[in-house]
Amino acid sequence: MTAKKGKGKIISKIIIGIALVLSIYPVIWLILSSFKTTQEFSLLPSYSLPQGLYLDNYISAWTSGNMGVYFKNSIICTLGSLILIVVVALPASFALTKMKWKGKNFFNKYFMMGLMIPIQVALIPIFQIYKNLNLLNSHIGLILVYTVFGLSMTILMFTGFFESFPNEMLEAAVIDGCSIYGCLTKMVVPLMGNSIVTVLTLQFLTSWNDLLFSQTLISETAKKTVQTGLVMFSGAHGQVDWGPMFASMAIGVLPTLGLYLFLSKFMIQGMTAGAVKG
Amino acid sequence: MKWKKAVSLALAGTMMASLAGCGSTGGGASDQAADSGTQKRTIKVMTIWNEDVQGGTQTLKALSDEYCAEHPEITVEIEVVAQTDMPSRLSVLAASGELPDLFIATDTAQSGTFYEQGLIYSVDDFLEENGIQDIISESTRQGLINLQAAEGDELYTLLTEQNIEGFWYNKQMFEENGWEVPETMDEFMAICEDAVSKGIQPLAVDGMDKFYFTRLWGGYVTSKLGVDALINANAGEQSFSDPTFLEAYQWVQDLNTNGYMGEGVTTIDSSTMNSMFLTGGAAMEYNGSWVTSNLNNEEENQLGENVGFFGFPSVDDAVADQNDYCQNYGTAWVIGSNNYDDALNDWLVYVFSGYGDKSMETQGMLSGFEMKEEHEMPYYTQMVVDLIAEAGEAAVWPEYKMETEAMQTSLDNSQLLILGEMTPEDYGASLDAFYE
Amino acid sequence: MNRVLSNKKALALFTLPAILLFTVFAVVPIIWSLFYSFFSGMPGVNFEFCGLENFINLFTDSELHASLMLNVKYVAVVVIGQVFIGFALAMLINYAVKRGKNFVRVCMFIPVVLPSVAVGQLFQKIYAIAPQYGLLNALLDIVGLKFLITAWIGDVSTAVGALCAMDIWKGVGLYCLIFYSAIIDLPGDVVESAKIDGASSFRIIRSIQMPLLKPIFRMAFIFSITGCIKVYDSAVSLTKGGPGTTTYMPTMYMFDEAFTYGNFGYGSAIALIILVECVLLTSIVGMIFKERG
Repeated sequence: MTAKKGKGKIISKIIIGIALVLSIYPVIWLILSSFKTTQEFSLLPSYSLPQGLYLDNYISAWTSGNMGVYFKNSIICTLGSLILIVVVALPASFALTKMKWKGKNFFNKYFMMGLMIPIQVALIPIFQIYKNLNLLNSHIGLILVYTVFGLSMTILMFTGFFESFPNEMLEAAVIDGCSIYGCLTKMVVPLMGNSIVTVLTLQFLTSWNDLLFSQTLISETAKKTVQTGLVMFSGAHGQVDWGPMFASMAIGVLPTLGLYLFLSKFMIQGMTAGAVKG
Repeated sequence: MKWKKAVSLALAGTMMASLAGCGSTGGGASDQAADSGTQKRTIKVMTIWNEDVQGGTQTLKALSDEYCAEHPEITVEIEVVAQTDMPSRLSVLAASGELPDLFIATDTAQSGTFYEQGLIYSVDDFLEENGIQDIISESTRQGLINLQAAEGDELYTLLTEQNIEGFWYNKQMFEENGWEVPETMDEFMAICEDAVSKGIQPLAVDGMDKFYFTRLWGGYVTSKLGVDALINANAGEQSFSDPTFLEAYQWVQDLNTNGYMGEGVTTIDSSTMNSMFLTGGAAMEYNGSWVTSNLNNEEENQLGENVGFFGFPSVDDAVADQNDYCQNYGTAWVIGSNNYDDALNDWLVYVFSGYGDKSMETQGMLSGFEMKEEHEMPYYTQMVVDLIAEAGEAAVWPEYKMETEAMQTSLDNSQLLILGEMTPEDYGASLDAFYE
Repeated sequence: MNRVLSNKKALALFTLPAILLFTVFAVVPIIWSLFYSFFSGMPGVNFEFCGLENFINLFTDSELHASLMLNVKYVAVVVIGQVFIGFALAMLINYAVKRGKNFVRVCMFIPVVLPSVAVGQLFQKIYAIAPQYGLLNALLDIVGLKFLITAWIGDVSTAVGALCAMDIWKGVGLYCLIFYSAIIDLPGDVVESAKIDGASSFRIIRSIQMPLLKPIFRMAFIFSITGCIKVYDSAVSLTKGGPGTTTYMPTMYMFDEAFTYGNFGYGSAIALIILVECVLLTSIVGMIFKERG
């Protein structure tokens, strides 16, 4: 019994190991390649390690200034939409799963609409609405659109997680005299900590990596976000060598990765906290 | 019940608010200018080249900065948009009457529509009103008009480059292998065959951008039937399934099936193509003279001055001469008419009067605008100037006047054609379908 | 109980902000653009009412049909790949990894973090064959599988597979994380008592965790299906629809019609088809995962 179990665990660990390698090796390859010289690219096989830290690629890729401003803008818009989406989506999702009301079914489907339509087609109307509400070239405008188009996904995921939240626990709390607000803030939120963090991570990523909206709704250089800034310096013409090409890709990828790794520290703290309470 | 009511009310309310707002388009910039006493004006420019790469933005920015130094009331905002995103950006802006003051039109059909709807300011008017017709030569003007999508003979596009197309070859490699510059197709094919047998890749081709494939069959058709063949085909007066066309498609397909284009040609992009050729990885490449910026760049070009040029080799019974090059003028600058005013006019006059010289001065690039001064030119730029001086008739490319959808079909299917997934007959039929 | 859970004031407070925001900035633009499908040309440029013409064209447009067929195949492969591999990995991590769970989880999620445009560029280089072998072909070369070396995204027979593989790679981490978070959010005592009763791990998964995870599965499927039907960024950045139209997805066609070919209305009509496709497939998923009782 234990031997069999041990074998199963070893096989599982091997599978996880392979999956790990598969998921991070291409990224590591990308970063390593960005340090290679042109000669290394043409003379050595592509899996070989760089011979040294060749930073010229980064210098030639990172030619335009303003990245600091773009970062600031991206952070404002992303954090803004994170906060707004929690405030808006969390209670709504709670109402959509656990509360009893007539429109529940309808609105569950209603919010899903955002998932099902290719957003490119809504660009012209959004632009016109924004123009009339004076929201073009503003942080608020981007925060709103990130929130709204993240809402479908966020609500779908929250409701998914909330549904697996046992009704019995809720009933017990209500019988103990807990109000509806208390149920939400004192029970659901702490117990669903992991799921909430997961959803927020995703929202963070979609906002941070957005190019479509920021490119359409922002034209002032001072208000541009990181992704549009990247377009500006990788330019319409591709890079000639693989080196700078990889470096510009790495510049696109690394900040996101760094931020994610930084935030995942908090995620993990949140998770362990949740687990203790659970 | 109450929910539905509230929602429908909210919906109706916003709809009406936004629709009502829709009527008052195109106020923006000019209103602000009228309000303030100093006549501040922000000129909006949209381009596909960022300042750090070679291209129209560098030239424009240099001239614009000069102008703004003396006219502090003018601010110029230059926005860089990826080339592939340009048509959609412009569509969105046009829908709200917000087209920029000056922009790069990547899609000729789209700018044709803009022009027909009066969203673009006529270049002829601009030149005439300011008495600066001399910045564009009459032959260039005619050439530009021929390439415009809209009917009529009024110029509404401004060029950024002047290009001829043909084969660039590695002189040293040709010498070492005893190859002569080919004048006929038979000679060309003999070189390719010899190269492959010696383990040299004859041609570097950017197959990802598709248009190089169609330029090749277009060159073949032009050589055999003359420069009118593609013009007639684009006008619907000549079938794309004509025997010579089919022969040309077959020829391009054979180039790939014989291995003359190397491995995985449809995954090669333009920078890879150029670096293959310029590092001695291929004997030739077909390209426009826009490649001179790469040739003049010592870091990229490891062949030094060892690159030569020849026009499309003559196919049997050729009608066209080898120097009847396919010519084009780069992607066009276009002037938006929404906010056209004196301030914009003055700025445009300054920028485009100096464009030819500035482009040569700062980048060693032929812009196609007339130059007022003599310039010391980089080696390959001088070579192109000399070639243009002795060029024969200007030829066009296969899709030069096709509607965008037909063009896309021609390009997409060219990949299938050279991969052998589509027969020459089917390829011709897929193009004829747009002219029924 | 019911009185608390149907508290009108709380309900309004909870749902109204979301409904209002969503309606004004998402639903109105969507309906507005669908309304455009009765017009030809470009809004603000040469827009003309054309009645049902765009919808009639939908039925005879062979290019659209081809891209829809392609999309169905793509959806089938990628959805199954993303959801099941994701679920399997989440289960394995939960059972087999003791220390370093967080490390594993964070690493798995890295591909999800990357912007899809960058992923497309990266995979172009991984699949490359010329001027030098990319990562994949170079690895095939050293392990002696030379006959497998090919222009992965340049060949009609492998391009779709290459695209699917990339999108599964990019998506799996997300589903892994979703399932993993849900698993550890499951009330622990149920599993504990089953363990004490001597139930095997497999049994616990099948008869206790799987049913509890049903809503998560439903959500994962809906999420993955709608995402795959709307695939755009990854296909554009990896293959631009090529070679030829081998990987030309409906959204790309919609985008080209709407913005490149100057038929905004027809583009909107295609968007409607995509919407219908999403509604159909997600309702099927909804029916399969309908809660009993």
